[in-house]
Amino acid sequence: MNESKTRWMDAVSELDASLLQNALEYEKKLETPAVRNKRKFPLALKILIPAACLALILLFVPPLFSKEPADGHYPHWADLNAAQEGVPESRYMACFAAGPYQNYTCSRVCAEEAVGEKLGEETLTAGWYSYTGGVPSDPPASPESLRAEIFSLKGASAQAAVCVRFLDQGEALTTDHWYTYINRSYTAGTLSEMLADFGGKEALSVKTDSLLFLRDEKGTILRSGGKLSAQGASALMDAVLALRGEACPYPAASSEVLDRCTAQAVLRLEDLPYGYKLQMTVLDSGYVSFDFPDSSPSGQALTFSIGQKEAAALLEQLHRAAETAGLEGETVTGSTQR
Amino acid sequence: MPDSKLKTPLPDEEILDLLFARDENALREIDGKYGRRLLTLAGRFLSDERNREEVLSDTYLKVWNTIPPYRPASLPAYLLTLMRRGAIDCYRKNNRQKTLPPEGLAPLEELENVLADQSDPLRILSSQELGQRINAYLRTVSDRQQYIFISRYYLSRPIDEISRLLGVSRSTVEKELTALRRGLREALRKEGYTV
Repeated sequence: MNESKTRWMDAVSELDASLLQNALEYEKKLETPAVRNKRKFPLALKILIPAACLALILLFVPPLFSKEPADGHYPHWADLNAAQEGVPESRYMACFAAGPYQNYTCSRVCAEEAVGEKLGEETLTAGWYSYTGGVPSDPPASPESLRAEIFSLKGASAQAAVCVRFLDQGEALTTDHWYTYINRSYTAGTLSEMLADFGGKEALSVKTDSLLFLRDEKGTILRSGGKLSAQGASALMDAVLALRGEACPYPAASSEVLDRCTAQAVLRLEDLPYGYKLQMTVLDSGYVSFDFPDSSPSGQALTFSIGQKEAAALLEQLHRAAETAGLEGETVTGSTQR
Repeated sequence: MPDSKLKTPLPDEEILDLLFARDENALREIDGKYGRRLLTLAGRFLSDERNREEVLSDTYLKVWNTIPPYRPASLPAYLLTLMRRGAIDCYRKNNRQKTLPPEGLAPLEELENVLADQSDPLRILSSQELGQRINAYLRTVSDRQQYIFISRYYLSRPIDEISRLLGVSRSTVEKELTALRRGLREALRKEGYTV
């Protein structure tokens, strides 16, 4: 496909959501019985109108469907990857333009019972942000300024996450819900500190379907088709809370720790009322790393050194829990090397 | 016991509420209500059925991951946008230097003619800028014209299908599409982009 077609395809992809919505509503009207009946023409007209139109087209409409561009050259789609990387994705969101929460990004809605004390009021800029590679690259073309109240989350540190309730209605954000915002620049010195900052046992738990991935001695397997027992899940959460470890600064962790480790298990720590979840990866060299799959853009992974012995003990417990629950595995071919 | 096949689809607002409550039944409702329509759209960009199914699953996953916090004003519009984007990405990934199926290619060939001269100043516009100008132009035309343009060039619908939906002949739709393309060219020219 040539460059020109690619450009048109991408340009048409920029269609405003409200225009598409209008078109779908128009189509709905076409489907109503009144309109359908109106469309029923007498048989003679059904034949005559197309015939007349065809005659008109043959006479007057110039040839508009030439397949060759003016220069007669269709370049191959040589720069495919570059074009693909450059295609931005749009996402509607509200961001803090400045102030103490500038680095906080929206995760999910949280329940009223998780909302703590009011911290203040801020103005957020909402709209369709362009995204490239998971990071907002451009401000919205038609930004909305939304006033919002900021609250803490009960038992959690405002350094880790806060809760936002909008005072102004946005295009796709309500004034009825509380939205959790996670600090994507959050750091902690130790694993215990991080778990406590995210609300500890009050806000985080291992659910019966929280084990996303577990590697066994036969190779890489993805656990599926079953759930952990409630008891096993609870025991796992206790084991995670009991872990102790020092933080590894991200750049160092990235190059010196994570690159040489293999992910052995991925476990989700979550609690619906708080509107966030942490994804914990257990690495074979004695590390655990956390990221926030729902916060967009995702923050940097936080990595803690827990020691090989503790990592092995945690993995053993995960295997036991999976075995007790009778979780079946399936071999996957993708690499999980970090 | 009521027959599940006769079950009335939930209104979109209720499906959104289910998503906000993290109830996985929301995805079943979406699949029942919009699944076929989404697969049809994917079929205009992807000829392989497995790819279409994969893009559909990805679309549902994106819906699950983005709602909440996002609450689209129109659920079908959001689904179609995600599905179209996913299908185009999948097409690009799997079909280097190949062409789109005829249903997806024909509308682009029609649009190319809006730019009669490939060396014109319009080439300096990025896809995004061109997209914004298309949006601005569409806001100046009637609802019916918007519908025809979007059906043909965004949803890549065959002209026969559009004419059936509108209850008019194929030639009427072709005529209206020609007028729309001319109108777009004129609108671009007025903005100083000689075409």
